[in-house]
Amino acid sequence: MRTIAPPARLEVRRGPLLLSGVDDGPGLAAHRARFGDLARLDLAAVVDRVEAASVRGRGGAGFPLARKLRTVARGRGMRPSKRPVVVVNAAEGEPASAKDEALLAVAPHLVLDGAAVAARALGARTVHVVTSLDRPLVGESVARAVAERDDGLRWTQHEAEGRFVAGQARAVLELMAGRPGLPVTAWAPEAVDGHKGRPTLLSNAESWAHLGALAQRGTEHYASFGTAQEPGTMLLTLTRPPGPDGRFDLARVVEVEHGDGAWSVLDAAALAAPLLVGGFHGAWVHPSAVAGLVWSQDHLRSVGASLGAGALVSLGDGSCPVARTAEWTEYLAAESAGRCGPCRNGLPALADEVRALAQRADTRRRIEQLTGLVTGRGACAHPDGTSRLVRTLLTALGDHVEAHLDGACGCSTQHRVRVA
Amino acid sequence: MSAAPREETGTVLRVDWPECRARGLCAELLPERIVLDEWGYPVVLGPVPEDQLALAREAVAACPRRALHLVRG
Repeated sequence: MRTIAPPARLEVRRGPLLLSGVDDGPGLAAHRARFGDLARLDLAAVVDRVEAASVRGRGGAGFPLARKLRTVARGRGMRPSKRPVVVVNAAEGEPASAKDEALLAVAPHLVLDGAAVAARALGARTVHVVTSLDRPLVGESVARAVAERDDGLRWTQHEAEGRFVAGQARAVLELMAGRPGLPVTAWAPEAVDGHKGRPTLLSNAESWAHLGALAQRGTEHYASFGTAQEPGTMLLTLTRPPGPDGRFDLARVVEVEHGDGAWSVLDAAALAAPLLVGGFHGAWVHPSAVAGLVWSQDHLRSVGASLGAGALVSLGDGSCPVARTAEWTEYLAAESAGRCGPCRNGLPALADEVRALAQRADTRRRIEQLTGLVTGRGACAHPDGTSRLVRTLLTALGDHVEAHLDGACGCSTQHRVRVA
Repeated sequence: MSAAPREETGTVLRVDWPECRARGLCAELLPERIVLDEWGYPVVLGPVPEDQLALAREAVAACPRRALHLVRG
């Protein structure tokens, strides 16, 4: 069974806002010197700022944070059973991503400030922070940061299993409830019916850091970055494909302003190679379109991609996208929790067909059939995301697939597909 | 990866996927709205019109796994 592990090495560059203090160290004193004392904002002020800055969730779904905040605010009550809960999701199950890991290593207090400001405004007493067992340094960094804080909140840490679907929102709530941290069917949003049935504001670590920056620095400063439509910044993780041991080697985490071009973070080789945008649940982008990419959710949607959690995997190493997609589909199939029939049956079947494609059998029709069959039919988006990866291989990199089938893509001998 | 509050319209059948074990009763009782995929799991075809609501409720009640739900938008 193929596994893929998070990057062995991380390189974090100083950025304009969230990563502006990387040279200060992760301590509270340095953080307060740069970002000021913890802001006291009432709920209306928090919602206003988040709304003005159009902050969207950075865990992959891109849902507007202001709407989540409002839903939690509407559902809360005085009874303990209706007291809101705040959750920082840093489980980062996507191995191609390391931005939450980087953020919590270099600027943990900005993340915790965001959660603290929201918790105080909502009247939540406890903030849960969920990290991953296969990124142990993150949990340690959070523990050190929490020990330094004096905000009067109760901080509770949880460690999710290091698997792909463990970072999914419902899987995180399952873990917090003491059950296996795997996805279950959500009948209502977490904001309505979350931890112990309470209104729960669960968001990705980076989303919280944006709220932290907005609370500590104000809307005007935040909007001095990015564009009028999409103010502020975003974190990206740049990697090359994992090696034969299944581990990503070096990941570079960079903070870009919305509206910056691809050239701002990609080197010459990456600008001329297929790029996977949005990690293993993401979309392939053709080499001819990579240089024209702009880091903006709206722009990426217009070219059929979506930023997801901001993980970019470049084939600047010259490897074959068909062979790579075959490897990764096999990995994703093995990462299925196996709880939902279409995913448990469909993803291994899909992996077989993509492997056959890599071995030059024209299985494209069957692949299209299978991706259609699994999409939207599970408790979480794992089948949908896996389908997106495979479908965009056929659409965005269709010319490469043709050449591959003709034996003319020139890369099929470099990466022979291992037969499991 | 967080589930967003979604907007729904009309009455729809939703499968609780982790509970479903492909018993197939739903497709027998409501072939108008449910067919089975190649592994025996239900494929739901569109929202439930008014005149099929009673049948749909029967299919929901018949599921031995309680895995089929009628959800209003």
